[in-house]
Amino acid sequence: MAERQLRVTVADWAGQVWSGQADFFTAPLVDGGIGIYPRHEPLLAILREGDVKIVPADGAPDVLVHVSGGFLSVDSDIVTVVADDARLLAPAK
Amino acid sequence: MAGSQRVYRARIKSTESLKKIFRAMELIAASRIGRARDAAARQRPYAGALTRAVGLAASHAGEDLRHPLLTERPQVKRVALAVMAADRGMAGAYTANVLREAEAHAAELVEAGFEIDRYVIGRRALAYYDFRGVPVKRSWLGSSDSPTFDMAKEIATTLLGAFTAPDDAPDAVGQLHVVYTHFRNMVSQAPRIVRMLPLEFVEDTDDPEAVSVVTEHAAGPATRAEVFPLYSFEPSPEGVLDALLPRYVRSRILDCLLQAAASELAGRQRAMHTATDNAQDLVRKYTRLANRARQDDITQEISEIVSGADALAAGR
Repeated sequence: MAERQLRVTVADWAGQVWSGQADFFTAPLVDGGIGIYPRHEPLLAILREGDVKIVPADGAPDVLVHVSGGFLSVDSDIVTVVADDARLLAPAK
Repeated sequence: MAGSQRVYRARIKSTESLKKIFRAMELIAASRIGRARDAAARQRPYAGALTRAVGLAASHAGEDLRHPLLTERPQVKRVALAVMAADRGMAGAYTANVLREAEAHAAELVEAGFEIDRYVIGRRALAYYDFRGVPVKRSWLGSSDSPTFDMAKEIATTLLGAFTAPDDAPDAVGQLHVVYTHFRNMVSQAPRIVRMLPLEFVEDTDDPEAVSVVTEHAAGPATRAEVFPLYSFEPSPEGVLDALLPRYVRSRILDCLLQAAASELAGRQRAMHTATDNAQDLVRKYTRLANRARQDDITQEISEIVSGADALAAGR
């Protein structure tokens, strides 16, 4: 069976900041952090200020996006991060 | 004599330079419309995801859906009226239409026994109220044709603050109504009144991206095509709703601002296009008049010379 991947979209009001396939994804939540692998249960969560980390599926370096709050929804491996203000940091080393 | 010719020439010259200005303003408005529409389009994924999430959280909160932003405040007999108009004129009847709509609505509310707090966006609207001595609670000026997220945020924060203020606070309001100009397409924009708070509906039937009727989801089974799957919420459905609703209002206000901006620019482009055409017509008319004046002058001169020569010939 083909390995499942996450479809991640990070957007703020000014448009899409990042989108693509990912193996793993972490986000800062109001009461701690969360890591999401494919097949996660549907989730709606509030973000606090911090960095969202995405491990792209194509083996590219991890992507860090700084968000200043917002929310996150996961549904059948589609991850949508809606940030108040998202800034793409340079891909982590 | 040559006087009328000179007058016409001067008029032609000034009309031509006005025409150039109108034309330039038309082009500027046209180029900015593109930008305003892009901004509205860029905001769409954000607004769409937000709207969906609000619907979701509301439907999960279920029967006992209670939230200050969803609750009527019948005891507060004051309504916030946010009027979105232009900073500059030269957009035809754009500001006048918005203000007419706003004041008609305000009159109805007053009739129904409400007091009105006016919040104004755009210098022209503020000038209108200032001139008439109508008090304005707060105004935001200077970026009606290129609204920013920060501005929407500030407006939303102020208005949400007024809506959630305790009953006896001087600026507490029981409802928030927004008057803005809906941008249907390039040729058709119409002023529209929306009751933004307490949240009850989203009606943007022209826009397939805008969905969700907040309380409808809460009231009954999901009547829409999509049935929401079972979600888990972090930290809790109420907590999520708490965080989402103010953002939702903010995004709706930004949407109104962006539509108003696009409408303003479309109105300005149209008005300036008409002005350019009118200037062109005037130039043509004055050119004709100037030519006729010159011909009259020539005819008169000839007849003077001829009669002068005749007189000399007769005198000989």
